[in-house]
Amino acid sequence: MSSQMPGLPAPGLSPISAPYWRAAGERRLLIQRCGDCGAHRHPPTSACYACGSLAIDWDEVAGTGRVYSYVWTHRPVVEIFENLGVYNAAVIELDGTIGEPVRILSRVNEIDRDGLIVGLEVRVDFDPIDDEIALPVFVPLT
Amino acid sequence: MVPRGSPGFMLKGSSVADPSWLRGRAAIVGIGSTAYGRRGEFTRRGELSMAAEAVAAACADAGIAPADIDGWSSYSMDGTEPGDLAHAFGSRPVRLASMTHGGGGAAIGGAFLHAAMAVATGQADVCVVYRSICQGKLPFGQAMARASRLPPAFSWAAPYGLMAPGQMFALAAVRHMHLYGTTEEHFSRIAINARDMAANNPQARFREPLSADQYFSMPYIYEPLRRPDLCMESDVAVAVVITSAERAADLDSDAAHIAAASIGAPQRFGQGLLGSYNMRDDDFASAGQRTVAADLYSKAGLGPADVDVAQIYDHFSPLVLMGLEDFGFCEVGESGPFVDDGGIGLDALPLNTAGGNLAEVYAHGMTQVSEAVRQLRGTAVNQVAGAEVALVVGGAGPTPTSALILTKGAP
Repeated sequence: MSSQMPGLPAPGLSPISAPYWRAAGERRLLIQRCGDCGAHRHPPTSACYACGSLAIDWDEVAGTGRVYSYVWTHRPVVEIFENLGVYNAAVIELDGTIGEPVRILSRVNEIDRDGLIVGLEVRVDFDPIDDEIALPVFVPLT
Repeated sequence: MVPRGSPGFMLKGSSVADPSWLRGRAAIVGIGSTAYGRRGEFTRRGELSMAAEAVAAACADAGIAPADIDGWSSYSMDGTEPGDLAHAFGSRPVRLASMTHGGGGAAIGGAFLHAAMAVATGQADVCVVYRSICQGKLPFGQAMARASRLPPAFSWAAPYGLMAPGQMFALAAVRHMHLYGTTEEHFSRIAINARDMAANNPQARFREPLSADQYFSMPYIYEPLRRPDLCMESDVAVAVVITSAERAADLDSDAAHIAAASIGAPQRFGQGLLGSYNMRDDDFASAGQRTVAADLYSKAGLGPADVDVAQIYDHFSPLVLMGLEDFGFCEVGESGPFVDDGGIGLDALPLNTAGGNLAEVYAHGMTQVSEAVRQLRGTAVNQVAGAEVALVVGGAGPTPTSALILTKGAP
């Protein structure tokens, strides 16, 4: 599949989530980290589910991880996506985070249906959305 | 660090000192619905008109005038407001106007919990739980698909092409397959059971039988899910009348007593598969209903072995398998072998006996409540002989999900 999937709606930014999307625009994967206990979490939220603190920090992470689960969409939700063909979405569990495991819903580019399996090692890549933000995606590590 | 309670509270059931306090104090005395329309069939008629028809039908079934209703309860941001229904019927002053937050049919049990609490405490005399939906109003995914920029809350899955819940719940199905060896054949048994049950239900929308060969000949929609694994969309309204057990005893209609109603979700479940993929590892490949099950059984003083008939929300067939696990009909991870070994069916655990969301109609779980009531009354199309305890499980979904136990006599 191509690395670009034009036509899908673009993410909207909130004050809480904007640092994540803007960092992706600079090809960096930022994960929210509690300013008090240091636990990572995703998606970005307003408090820490490990300790309840409101203090927010961000960490750039290496962006490697493993496929936790996935789905192949054969029939699009609406006709305007028919040009996408059969496409995947995957939950990726990231390496090297602090606290409970951090998972990102994303997709795996450059892979076919037989190649996408739970446990597959992947690394982050970025599909540009516009001048400011990009979509974090993943590709097989090897 | 902010002080925290122990996470150990999670599986201990109700925190109320006596979990049985609501047991047997409220009863369902009337059920009613509109015709079961396909998606878009009743768009022009509208949800308020349909809700009113369902309320009138449920009240007629109960032998109670709509003007006597003083409590209204719904869930999932139902578009019909209590004030409009009470106005339409000239009903008594409204004393309960309850909305349980959540999505789809997940929070349905909350609507019943609030109504039961209201009649048990004397806050209201006669409550109606209702759900009215015209799903043709906005075909699923259209608004998101056509947005050039998404609302921030919907920005974690839709940019990757996930807009339909079926796509998202497939992620739980694939994880379950990976962990436990669950197969598409296991999914098919849930879909085939729904059609088998619907075949005898004249109201059901999909009554054609489904063979295993037919199932496997169908293309994937959201691999590993095929069309028969996905619920339909419908235009339908359903209403249920609830009053105190004392008042129920004075009515002519057969009461189904509310032994327990529970809502809940595990810690960090959030929007579940619809938005947060960071729940506990144990909860990802589940229906998110283990805390609800523990709380429900504790409140009812009953367990899975006592259940004569189960209505488990079947928006997606793998989630029924996970519901069987969460509610203790088999061990976690064993639902595949359980259905392979004849665990479901009229001579085993009777499941979704009117056809459910897969084959009867999609009323966000309300028709699964009315089917449970019919089973206890002895008037169901696939009647379970001597059914005395019925379990109704709400949809796996966002926080909160929910469940009910109904009993034939006062529990």
